[in-house]
Amino acid sequence: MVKRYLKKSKSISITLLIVGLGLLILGTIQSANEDEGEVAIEIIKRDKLMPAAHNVYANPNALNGKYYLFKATITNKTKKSLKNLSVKYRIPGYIEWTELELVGKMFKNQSTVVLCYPKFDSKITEKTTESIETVEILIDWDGSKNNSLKETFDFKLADRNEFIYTNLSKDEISGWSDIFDNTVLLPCFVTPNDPVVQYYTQNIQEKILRGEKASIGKKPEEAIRFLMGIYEATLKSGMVYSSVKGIPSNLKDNSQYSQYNRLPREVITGNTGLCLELSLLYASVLSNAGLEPIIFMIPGHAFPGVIFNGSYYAIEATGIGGEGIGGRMSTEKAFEYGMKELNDFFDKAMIGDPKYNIIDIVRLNQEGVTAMYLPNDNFLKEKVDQIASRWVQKSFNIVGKLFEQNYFAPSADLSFNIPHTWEVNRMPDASFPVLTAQVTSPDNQIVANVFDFPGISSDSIALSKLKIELSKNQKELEFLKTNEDVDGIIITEKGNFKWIGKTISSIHGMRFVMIGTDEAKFEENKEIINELYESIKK
Amino acid sequence: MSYFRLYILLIFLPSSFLYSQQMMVQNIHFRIDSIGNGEMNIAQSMSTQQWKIWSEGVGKDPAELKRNIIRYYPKYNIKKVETIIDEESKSYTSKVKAIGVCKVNQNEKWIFNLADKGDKMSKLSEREFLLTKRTVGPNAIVLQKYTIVLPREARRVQLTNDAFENPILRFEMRQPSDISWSVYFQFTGGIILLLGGGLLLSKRDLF
Repeated sequence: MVKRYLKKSKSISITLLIVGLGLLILGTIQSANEDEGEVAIEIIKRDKLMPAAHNVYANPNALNGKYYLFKATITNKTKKSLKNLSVKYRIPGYIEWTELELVGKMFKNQSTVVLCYPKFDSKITEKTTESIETVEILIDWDGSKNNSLKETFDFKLADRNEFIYTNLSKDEISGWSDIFDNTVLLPCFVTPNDPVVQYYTQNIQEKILRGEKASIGKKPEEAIRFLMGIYEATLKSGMVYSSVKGIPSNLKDNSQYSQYNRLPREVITGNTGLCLELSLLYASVLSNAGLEPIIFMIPGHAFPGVIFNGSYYAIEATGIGGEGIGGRMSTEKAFEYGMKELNDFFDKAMIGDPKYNIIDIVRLNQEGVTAMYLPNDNFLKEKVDQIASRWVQKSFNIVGKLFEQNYFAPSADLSFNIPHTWEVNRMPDASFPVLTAQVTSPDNQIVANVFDFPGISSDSIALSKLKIELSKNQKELEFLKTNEDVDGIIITEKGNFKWIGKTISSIHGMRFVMIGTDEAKFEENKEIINELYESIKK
Repeated sequence: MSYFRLYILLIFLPSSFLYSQQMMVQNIHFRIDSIGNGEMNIAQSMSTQQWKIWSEGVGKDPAELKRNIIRYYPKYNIKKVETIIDEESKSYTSKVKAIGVCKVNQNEKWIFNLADKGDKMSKLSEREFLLTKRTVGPNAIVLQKYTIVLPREARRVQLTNDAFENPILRFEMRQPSDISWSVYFQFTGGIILLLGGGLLLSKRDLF
C-alpha cells in the first residue's frame, strides 16, 4: 500500500515538475515574442527653406513654433515600455549630429512629438544657388531588442534672395491666406542692421533730411518727412522701377508662389527695384531710424508705410518709375498716391478681403521674425557714397525748362511749383521753429521760406510774431500788406533780402510764404520770383 | 501677435476682423487620455459681423480651417478635425484629435505643457484645470479658455512651472505591466507547479 502510494506520488511530482518547467519555458518564449512590434515614426517635413529666414527656423518660440524643419511623431507599437528614447538629426554639410530630445520613458502605444528647429550658421545667407539637402534622423532607445531606427528625407534649400510665399502644394491651396502663408517671414528681408543700409540711412538723414528727430519726436509730420525723404533719396539717385517675377495676383498660377527678392543693399547699390523690394528697403531704413515700418500687401502689389502714434501713413515707392516707363512722380505726389492707396486698402480689409494684409515689421520682430545676417561690405559702401553724391548736385540750367510739374508741399494745405533741381529743406533751423521749410535755387540766389503759425487765425498777428522772432536774431522785418499779398524787406547786417509773399489760413493756423532774393539782385530774378509766387496754391 | 491675419487663432479669423476692436472668446474642452493623447472641443460664438466675415472666409473651407488649427498647435500631431457649424446660433464647434500632448520625463512623471509664461492656469478639481491664454493683436484681443481634464489614472497632480516659468501640469500615471496576463500565468503557474512537485518529491523521500 505504502509502496503504491510512494510510486504514485513520485510520478505526480515528476509530472508537476515537468509541467511547471514547461510553463516557465513557454512563458519565456512568449515573453520574448512580445518584444516584437515596432517603433513607428511619422514625419511631417518642410519641403523648402529660405536662408533669409534662418533665424526663424532656429527659434522654437518664433511665430508660435510654426516654422520647424520637421515634426516626428514616434509611436511605441512594441509590447514593452521604451526607456531613454533619444532623437538626433544632422544635415550633412550644414549641421552635425544634434540631439533634439531625450524622452525618459515611452509606454506601450504612447506617442511623442519631436520638433526640429535647425540652427544654421549665419553664413547660409551667402548662399546664392538653390540645392537639395538631406536630413538624417536617428532614434535609439533602451528596452527592446531592436533599439534604433534611421530615417532620411530630402528638402530644398533656396538661394538667399528667394522668397517663397507658401509651402503648401498647389492642390492644397484654396484661398488667399494659403498663398500668403509665409508673408509673415518678410521681415527677414528687412535688414536695418546691415552696415550698408545703416550707412545709406545716415546719408539720407544728413544729406536729404538735414537732420531729423522722427523717432524721438511726437509729431507725425516728422515721420512723414522721413518717409518722403527716402523717396526723395531714391528719386535723386535716379533709381528706377524694374519688374521681375512679382507678388501673386491670382490663385491659379503657381509660378507666382515664389519671388526673387533683391536685398535692400542690392536695391540701393543696383539703383533699381520693384514694389516689394522697394518696400523692404523703406522698411529697413525706417526701422534703422527707430520708426515702425509697415508693408501693405495687396494682390500683385506692395507699398511701404509707417505707423506713428497709432496712425498709418504710406507712400507709393514705385512712383520713381523711370523715363522709359512714363516718368516719375514728385515726392508729394507719391505720398498723396500712397495715402489714397492706404484708404482703398482699409476699405477692402475692413470687409474681410483676405487679399489685403499688413506686415507689421516691429510686431513680427518681437515674435521672433528677425532679420537675416549680412556682413559689412566696404565696396558697397563706396557705391552708397557715389549715389549720395548725386543728392547734392548743384548743376542748374534755367534756360527753357524752368517750371516742371514738381510740387512742393510742406503739407496738404499748400503747394507751389519749383524746378526739380532746387533743394528743399524741411525744418532747416531748429532754433527758428516757425520756419518749417526752405526752398533754395541751386545758385543760392533765390529763396522761398515757408513760415507756420499754428493756432493763429489772423495774418496780422502772424506777421507781427514773425517780426518779433526775426528781431531776436538781429533781423528787421518791414512789410506792406494788401489782403493776402504781402511784400517787404528783411534788413540784416550782411545785406537786405527783398521779397514778395502770400498769407494762407488753414484749420491749423496761419501760413506765410515769402519768396525773394538779395535786394541788389531782385530785378534780375524778378521773373522767376513772380512765377513761383503765381504758382502758390492752397 | 503681429500680423493682422494673426495666424493664431485667429486661426479661425481672417485679418480684417482685427481692424475692429473686439474681444474674441474661444472655449476649449481638452480631455487627455491615459496614453498622453488628447481630444479638444473648440467652441466659438460670434457676433453678426464676425459671423459674416468668418462664414465667407475660413468657415466655408473646412480644409483651410483644419490647416489653421494644425498650424496653431505645432507641438501636437493633429489627426482629425471635425467641424459642426450652427448658422442659427452663429457658432461652430471643432472636434480635434491630438496625438502626443503629454511627455514622460526621466523620473517617469507625465508633463503637460500647453501654457506660456504669463498665461493663467488654475485648479478646478483634482484632475481639472482652467487655462486662460490671452493674445493681444493690433486691434483685437483673443481669449482662449481651456478646461483641461486629465485621465482618471492621473495621480499626484501638481500645477507648477518649468525652467522657463511656463505653467505646466506634472503628474503620475500607473501603466499596465509590460508582461501580459498569459505570460504572467505561465510564469506563476510554472513556479507553483515546480514548488509543488519539488515538495511532493521531498515528502516522498521522508518515508
